[in-house]
Amino acid sequence: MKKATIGLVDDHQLFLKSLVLMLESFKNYEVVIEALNGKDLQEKLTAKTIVPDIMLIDVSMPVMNGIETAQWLSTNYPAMKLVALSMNNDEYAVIAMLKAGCCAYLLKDAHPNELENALKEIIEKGFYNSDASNINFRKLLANQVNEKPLLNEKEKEFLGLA
Amino acid sequence: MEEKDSYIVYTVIVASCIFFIVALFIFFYIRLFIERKKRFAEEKINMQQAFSQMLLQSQIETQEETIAQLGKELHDNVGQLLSSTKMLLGITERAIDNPPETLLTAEETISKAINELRNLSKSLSKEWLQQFDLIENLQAEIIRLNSSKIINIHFSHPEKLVIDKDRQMILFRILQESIQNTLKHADAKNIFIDFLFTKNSLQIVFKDDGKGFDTAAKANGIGIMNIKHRIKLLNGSIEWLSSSTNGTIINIGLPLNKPSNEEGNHRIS
Repeated sequence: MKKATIGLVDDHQLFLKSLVLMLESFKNYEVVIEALNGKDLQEKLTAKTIVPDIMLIDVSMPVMNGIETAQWLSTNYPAMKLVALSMNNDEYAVIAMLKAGCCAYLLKDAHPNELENALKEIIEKGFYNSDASNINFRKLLANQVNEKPLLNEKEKEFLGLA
Repeated sequence: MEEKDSYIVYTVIVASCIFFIVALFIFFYIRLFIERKKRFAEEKINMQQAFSQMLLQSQIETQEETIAQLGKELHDNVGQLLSSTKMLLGITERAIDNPPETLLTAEETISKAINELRNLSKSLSKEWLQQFDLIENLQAEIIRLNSSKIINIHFSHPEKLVIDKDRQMILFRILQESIQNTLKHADAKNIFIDFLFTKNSLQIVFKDDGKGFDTAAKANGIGIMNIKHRIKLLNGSIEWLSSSTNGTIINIGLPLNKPSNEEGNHRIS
């Protein structure tokens, strides 16, 4: 089987190094791009001819963060599978990354077995639901429903008159 | 002769009248001056109070900002290092046919460390402060501390506290700091925290069964000064009673509704 190509964006060099070691140990993946933030990735992607199949994106990065990076990638490389990989499991970050076009949200402290499984599913099915691990999607959706309506009464009245 | 007499009488009367009017005028003028001075002094005191209150509040806000920043740094930097280590351990584990128990325990330990750190940094974040509930958070903190088996905290409280969120937060920080003091210095086994309501105040009694401390010697220590600052911001009162046999008792009193003195106007809201 042809190796799937992977790109990594993360500002923590040590983590990046561990991640490369992990992906190499999985055998089926080849890391083709490593960038330290979104801006760095933009430059490296345009300079290279190779476009990775999967991009692992950290959420909090300096210069250009994960959300902006994912949005840019979804617009410019719609075929690329975007995967958020973060320390942060707060609802805002998860929702923002999924909205920006990520097909999965993985936590950095997940076991390599889970990460391997996730990558496999993403390639086969196009998404991975990590509900079983750490992120409770049901809770996220419940909170989404509680969000304030986009228009207040006055604005609705105005629209009704317009 | 008579005419001259009456002239003198007339002059005296007029003169005393003028004198009297002048005296009255001076008297009123002095009184006005004194009153004005008094009012000015009062205004000055009020302004000073308002200023020191504002100063205290901005100090607390800066502190909260620093705390939130610290939490984020901890999470982002230390958390990443721990996660990298966990990943490397995981890779090693997968590379070995029969991974030794020590390696698996190391992985488990580091996972715990990451979760602890995550909870800790959440409890320091700002979003968390905006939807702050003192009782809920104190309970969570107590569960966390009690599970460490170092201390046993007993907390009796009302169902709900009807106090402004930022006042609850300040009160939480005071209690958190007091708990930390007991943990660090008192060698105590138990802490008892009681919330009691009187007609228009909330009384909090914090008690530990540790070795106590010299309240006079520590009265100007940073920790205690910090707590006093916070209490002042709440218009509350606080006293420390400590002895080597009975441990430490902290009595906190907080006015509910409008406090009786002028300072109520500067209540933070």
